[in-house]
Amino acid sequence: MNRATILSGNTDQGGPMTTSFRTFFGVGIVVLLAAAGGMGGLGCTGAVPPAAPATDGTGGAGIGGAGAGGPGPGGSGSGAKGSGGSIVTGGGAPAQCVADASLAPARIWRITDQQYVNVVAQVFGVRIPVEVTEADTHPADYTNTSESPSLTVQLSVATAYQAAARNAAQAAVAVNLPVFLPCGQAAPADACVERFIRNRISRAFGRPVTDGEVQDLLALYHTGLADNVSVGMRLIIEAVLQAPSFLYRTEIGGSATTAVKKVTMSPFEVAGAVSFALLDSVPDDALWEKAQDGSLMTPSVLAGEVDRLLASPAVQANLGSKASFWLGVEKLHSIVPKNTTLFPEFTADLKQTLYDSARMFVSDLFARGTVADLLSSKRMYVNATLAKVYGIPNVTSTTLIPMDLQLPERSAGILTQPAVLAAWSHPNRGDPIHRGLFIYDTFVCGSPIPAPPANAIAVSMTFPANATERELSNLRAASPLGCGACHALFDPLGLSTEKYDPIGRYAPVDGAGKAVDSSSMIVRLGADLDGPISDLPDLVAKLKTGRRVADCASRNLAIFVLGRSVVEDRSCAFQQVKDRFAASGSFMDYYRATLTSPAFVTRDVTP
Amino acid sequence: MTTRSTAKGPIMREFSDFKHIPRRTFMAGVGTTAAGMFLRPLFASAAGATPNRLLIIHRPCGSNLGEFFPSVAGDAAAYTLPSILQPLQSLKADMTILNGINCPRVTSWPGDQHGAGLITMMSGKRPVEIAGTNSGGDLQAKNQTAAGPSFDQYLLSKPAAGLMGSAVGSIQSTAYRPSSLGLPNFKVMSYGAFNGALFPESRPGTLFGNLFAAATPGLSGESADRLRLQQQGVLDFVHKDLARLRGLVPRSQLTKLDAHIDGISQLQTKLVKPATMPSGTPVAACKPAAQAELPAQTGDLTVDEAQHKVVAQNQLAIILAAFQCDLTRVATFTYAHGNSALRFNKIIPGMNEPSGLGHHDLSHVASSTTYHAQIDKFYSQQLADFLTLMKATPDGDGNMLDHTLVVYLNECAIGAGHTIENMPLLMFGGTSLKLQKGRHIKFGTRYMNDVWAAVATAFGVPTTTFGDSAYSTGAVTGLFG
Repeated sequence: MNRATILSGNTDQGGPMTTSFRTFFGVGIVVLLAAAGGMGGLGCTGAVPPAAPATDGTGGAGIGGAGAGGPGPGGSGSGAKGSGGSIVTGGGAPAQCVADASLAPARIWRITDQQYVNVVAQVFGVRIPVEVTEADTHPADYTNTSESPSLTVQLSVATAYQAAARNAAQAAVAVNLPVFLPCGQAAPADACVERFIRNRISRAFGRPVTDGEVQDLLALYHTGLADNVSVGMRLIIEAVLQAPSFLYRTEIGGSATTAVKKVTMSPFEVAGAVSFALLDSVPDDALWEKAQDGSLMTPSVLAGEVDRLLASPAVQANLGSKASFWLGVEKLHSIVPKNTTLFPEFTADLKQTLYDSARMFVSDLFARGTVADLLSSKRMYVNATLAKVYGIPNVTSTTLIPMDLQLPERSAGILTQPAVLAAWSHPNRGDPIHRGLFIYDTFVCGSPIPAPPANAIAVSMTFPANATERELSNLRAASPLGCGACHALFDPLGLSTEKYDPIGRYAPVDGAGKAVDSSSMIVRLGADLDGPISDLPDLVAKLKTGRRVADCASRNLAIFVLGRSVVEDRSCAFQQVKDRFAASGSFMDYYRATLTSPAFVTRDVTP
Repeated sequence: MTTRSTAKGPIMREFSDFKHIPRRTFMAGVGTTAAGMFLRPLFASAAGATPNRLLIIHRPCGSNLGEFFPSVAGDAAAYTLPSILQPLQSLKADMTILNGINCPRVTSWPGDQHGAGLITMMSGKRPVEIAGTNSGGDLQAKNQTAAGPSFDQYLLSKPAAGLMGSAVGSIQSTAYRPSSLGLPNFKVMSYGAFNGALFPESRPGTLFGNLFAAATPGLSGESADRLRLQQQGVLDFVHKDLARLRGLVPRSQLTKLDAHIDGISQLQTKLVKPATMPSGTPVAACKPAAQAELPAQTGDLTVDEAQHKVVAQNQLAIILAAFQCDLTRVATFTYAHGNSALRFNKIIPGMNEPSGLGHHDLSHVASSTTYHAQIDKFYSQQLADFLTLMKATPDGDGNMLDHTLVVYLNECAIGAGHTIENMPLLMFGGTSLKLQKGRHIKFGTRYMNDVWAAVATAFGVPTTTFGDSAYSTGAVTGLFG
């Protein structure tokens, strides 16, 4: 459970609750504040070494209490302690790294619904609906990490798998029995059924089936044969689609019990790891053959396969779709709808078009672009509708076409895609907090920001209802309750986008005809970023110096390819991935560097 | 949905009305192998005394109270039904309108207001945060779950209520998706115990299969034995593979496999459920609809909202069939959750709502009260159709509605402000429980907890307090005779 999941929730959440709250509950604020005793225990103080004694902590419910791992910079006057050093990893000479560490731990990793559907289509020739376990159609966050608690199978999920397997097996047999049993489907010999098991079930399992499994599945076939051949075949598939050998990918070598410290994955596991990272499905024929003959374990062969796959449009599309979680595009699905009075042009159709446009940008970026393009591309996919709303001249196409815009306000790559700006805004007003957090998490990679404290809303209620976003930000920074401990890190980043309205239009002048101020003062993020900025281009220029964005990208993208957080990772192997990516900047090289790393084929066994 | 009044197979023919629904190719064949379930019809009444049942139905996002409550209280003859309740005109004498019931919560509690509303209406207690999460005081946080059992599960656990002992403990279903995974919050009506969210099933085909396929009684003889044997074989293979894998993984991975093994074990247990009622009567014979007769959901309801109505009809018909077969005596059904994105201009013919907003968002638009009343009236019509079907379905010495208490509730009173005062609440049926029907009862100001206490008492479980005692002053009186 991360901050974003809790706060942003589902596809269709929200409503103008926050605004109505002001009118309904203003009376209770004083009580809430008194009870909460200020914002206790927040830890946005990464500049202070963990070992630093918290001598000035006020303790208990006080501000910046000692329990948070360091004194809070707000409120109690200890703010000076937090300033100065960079709280960002990377961006300079590597610290001492751990030489022998693998890129991931030994583990099992349950497949997603989409992967389930992909494998069933690839192996059994039928495409079933994606709602296998009824996971949310548009999750707010990418949750396919190997350790995600939502990936645990319990009774309800086991029941869902049972039904999905029944349906998929039924459909597969109905459509493809002649394909499964080429030697005759009326009364096939056991040998013929065994061929089906050895050829096709092995592919579903991502490894050769064992003789014992062949016997068990043949026995199951005979149970169904009491009805007929179709039922027998259906039972095999039904069992396979519920078996852990199908539902989990293993990364354990032969065995990874705690007797060993490190394992080398089998060629089949390596093939699966590469294929799922790039295609979200089991290996294709060429990759499978190289696992079968073992040649995949030769670095040059593995590199060749990775190159072959990275060149395929299917892989590029798939990588783009995952990266759109990182780059804030998927967020557009879960926003509170825009105020229709203020923004009548923000229709459901426009929202979808914006989403499609941003997805195309991301796919393009990943297939052909570099990390430099990420924040400086002038490209936008536009059609006439979108162009009209966003003031882009001379577009008549009804379909989305790529254009390299010569508009200063659309020249910061992903940050000036209207989809992303609209995704991180309130329904009726700007949202420097969440735009700032987005920039902080996506490109800055500062120390983790915890969820707001329980009295955050109550405190915000004490601010004047008609305050501007900038005034609110100043109030947070100055609050004796310590809001600034965290907000000072990301509010200034968000304020740089103030010239973009809640649907992502460029609006340098406000409704009253006054020029919008998008300046801010960046603090405590490191020498490369700290200092005054006047506008978004200023921020982008700072971000583009050095390796910060590349290293932050490496860290964020690891979730998708390694299935785990590397925030704490100190391995030399991951440092090398970062170095290689920073050197070339090509996103394709990021995957190349990861998947061909010697540390990718091994797994560390943690007790 | 038209009324069927004959004794045999009302469900079957009800489904025939749905045949215009396009069906996915892959679903089409599923029913054929389920042919073993075409058995002699026999309703629960023939197996012994007619049991009582509890069905709680939820529709979301509040109502328009002025168009919901009649202006006059008392006997049905004294009042006319306002527009939202007009579709229930023919059921006026079967209906109790509960006026003055509040939701037992405080609207400044952190967490999504719709989630909090549904959880407190059902469990009578303030929601808790899922362990290890923190809403940070956010009024939209989705990390809520119930602190205790919901009323349906509470009553199910009381032997005196006479609800336990059926092959399937209870049913939870919905006509909205997604629903079965993720966070319970506004999606879930029923909670087994602390954090025990019982996610509603949104796919009629899956619900049907889970209830009526070989995994449950309702089949007899050789074909049932064979199906059971096949299912056992499948699960045995899965279990064996789990055990094999368990011996190969690091200790850190065991929790995943242990949870999975537990789930499979529970599925295996279902296969060996006794094929007799607690009374010793065989459960064997009753006739559910064939699965092939069920229309498949044609996809994501957020894309094809027109499916909402037909999916709801199917889900309720399946619950009715399960009641008929006495597979279960307790069910909760939610048309859609409180964050519903269903756009009703795609569902209600002729509704020209211009914004195209989903139900939830529309409920927050001040100028949308007319549309909102139209939507709640739509739900009244759906409810009326189903209750009419129940009433036309014989059951023991009466009909299905006689032996079933149907509670119809919402998680908000007025959606726009998530209000908690005077919840739009109805009850139907429950003749056997002596529900005071055909009345509009003003309770003054009471909490839902006191209504539940009265329901429990009517079911034979004398109760003074349900849920949080701070929101209770004893069971309401005058609701049951």
